[in-house]
Amino acid sequence: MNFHLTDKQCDLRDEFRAYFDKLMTPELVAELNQTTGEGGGPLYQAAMKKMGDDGYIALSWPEQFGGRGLSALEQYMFIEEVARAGFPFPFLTTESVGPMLRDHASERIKQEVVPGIVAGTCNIAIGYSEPDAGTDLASLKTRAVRDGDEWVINGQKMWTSLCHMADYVWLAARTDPDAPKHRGISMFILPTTAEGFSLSPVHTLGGVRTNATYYEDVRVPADALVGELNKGWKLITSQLNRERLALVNVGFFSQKYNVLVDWAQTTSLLDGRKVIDQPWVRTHFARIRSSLEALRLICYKLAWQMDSNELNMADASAAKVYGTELFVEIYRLAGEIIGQHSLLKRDSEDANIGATIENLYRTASIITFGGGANEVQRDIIAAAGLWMPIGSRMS
Amino acid sequence: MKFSLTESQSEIRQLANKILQEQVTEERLRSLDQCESGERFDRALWQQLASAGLLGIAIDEAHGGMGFDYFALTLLLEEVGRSVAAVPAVASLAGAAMVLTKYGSDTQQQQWLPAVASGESLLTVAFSEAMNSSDLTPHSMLATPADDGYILTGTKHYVPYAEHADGIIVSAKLSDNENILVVVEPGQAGVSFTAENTTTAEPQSALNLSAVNVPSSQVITQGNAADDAIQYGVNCLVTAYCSVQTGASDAALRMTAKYTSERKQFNTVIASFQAVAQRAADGYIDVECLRLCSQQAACLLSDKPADLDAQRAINDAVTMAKIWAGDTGHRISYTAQHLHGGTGVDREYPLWRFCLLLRQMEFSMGSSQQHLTDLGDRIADYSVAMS
Repeated sequence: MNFHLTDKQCDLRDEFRAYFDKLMTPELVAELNQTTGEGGGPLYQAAMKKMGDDGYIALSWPEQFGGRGLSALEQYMFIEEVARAGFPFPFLTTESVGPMLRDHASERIKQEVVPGIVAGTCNIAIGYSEPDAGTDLASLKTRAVRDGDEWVINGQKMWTSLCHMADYVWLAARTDPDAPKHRGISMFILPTTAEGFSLSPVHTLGGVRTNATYYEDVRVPADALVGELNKGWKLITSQLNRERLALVNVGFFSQKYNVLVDWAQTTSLLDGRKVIDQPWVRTHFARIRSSLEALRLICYKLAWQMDSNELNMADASAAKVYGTELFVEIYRLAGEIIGQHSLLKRDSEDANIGATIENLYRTASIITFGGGANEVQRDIIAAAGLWMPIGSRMS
Repeated sequence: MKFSLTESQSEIRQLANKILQEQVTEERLRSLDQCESGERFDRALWQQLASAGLLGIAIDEAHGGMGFDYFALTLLLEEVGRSVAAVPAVASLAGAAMVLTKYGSDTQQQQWLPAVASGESLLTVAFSEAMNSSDLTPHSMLATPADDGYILTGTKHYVPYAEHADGIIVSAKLSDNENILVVVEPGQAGVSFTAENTTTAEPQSALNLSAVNVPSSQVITQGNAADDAIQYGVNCLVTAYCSVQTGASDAALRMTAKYTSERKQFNTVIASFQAVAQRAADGYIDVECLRLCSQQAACLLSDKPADLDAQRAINDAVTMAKIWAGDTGHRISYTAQHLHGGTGVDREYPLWRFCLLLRQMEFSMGSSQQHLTDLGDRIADYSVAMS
């Protein structure tokens, strides 16, 4: 057992950190701050393209696909630095959808889509959820019917985030309505320019825009099917553990913690004390720090398990539950330390460090149910980690 | 970063697990429950562990041990917690022997370590004082220089197995900015004990020293080195409690998972109720957090700190582990009891001993809140930055 990074891993971290220090120009940061961290502006697009040119997008991919073949642990470190820098990197595209297209799409799709992902010029939105298919995703109703050399798609998707800037939708659709629900789903890649496709914006609590997307007799060629017919569920779930790990990356708060401590050490109260001289503030910080430490270790262990093929499903779900609920709690504690200034948005003239927390609070409310509702994760933990019999709902 | 054990570490864990799971039977624990106050010590088991070489895991080969590091010792401690064995492994092996190995003179090491490894001698540690906010700075045990060595006067509390020990490592205040660490033998003139009957019935005592003459041969270290030695000893002890807590929490949780998977109410096993399964799942997360933080502390303690930052990283890792040990222990204990219903408190069923142990570990050498306060003060001082 060893809790130190190797020299090679330290070098890699230094390299990533230096890269993002340079990439995150004040102008780019300003643009990102206006878009609630979701990217999409011209400077963001330029930064993505630059990352593509520098070979920084598909680092975890094998070398023959333009990557560097990073291990899961090294890839975790990469995401840690991306998150630390605050760059809205489309890791679902690069880590989840991208590899599935690379490995399972038809030759035409591979030629058409994959190089754009690696180059940072192609954006893909994910079409999984529907109005009546959330946590119980496999009950999705969007249909794809074969008609000659084409598939005809009809239905509605919900929470199709980033779709208004996307070139494609990675779509789950039912191809066999008579099969058991997990065995009648297939995956498609569908251009957002296709006739019959439309979307309407959905504005969320936090100010982040997402979308409802509509599919009305959308026709795609037969080879837009990715992977085997009716085997889509297996494809969807094959990348879930990596997605969960990326979602709770400690990098989302590690540097913010450092900055917040520095602020509390140097900022005076009117009575002359520093913010950090208040005993409760110290305890809050200690709570944040010791909880983050556990998250850091959980994530590294999970990444290490992936590399040594010892991945325990219960541990992946434990990371998701612990990490997401911790972020919600930490954003509260951090807000309390800053006080009422943590309600001021970035565009307030006298905004301070609290604006970061204000922003985080608004965007964090989705994480406990997004990426697999925590109740379902807890069921997985009880079943796979403690061998408890699962309830009837799960069967 | 590597989260697997080496081959020899796996062997130590398996050996410890095998002996403790086989020997620490319900029957044996019950006979210990009948012991007179202050006598709950499974001497036969202690000798079995000695015969298997397990008391010398972290003692140098030159002194009759296996020569592994502190981390390897914590593998035994986790199994001690998992089995609620009534043995003085924390005090004698993780506390006293580690301090002597790192700071004792050749003569002291020769005098004590081979006998600790063989089980002939038992050592314990007296750092804690009542109403002292830090185990690092003795206040009530005072040392004054004498012709040869020092005179010690004062009281220490909660000394594990004190009245069974052949040697007690005692920290004392020499002056406002100087401490001293010595070995006191119970037979010395002026040494007396007041028995302290604890929650788990582990024998503990207050140690009263009344002008005890401690010759220089019994002094382990003084001055700056004494502060380092006390810090190291406290770190080793606190982390040891975390390791015991890891084993005990894991065992109590798994016992609960098994029980709820068999216990039927409303015609179904209660584990199939989501409220039950989810509370157990929260326990799984708690145990995992405690395990990882404890393992990290134990690993870092086995390193030689290269500089001040490395020493701070060790201290911080230990503190964070104990915060988790307190919180996890508390939550697991009540989760386990609650999900067992009445069975959990019935002494005919084994859970109750785990709950008492979890409570004792939670409060030994600093509660979660005390360690949070310490960590908070350090954050104010040097930020305990995230890398």
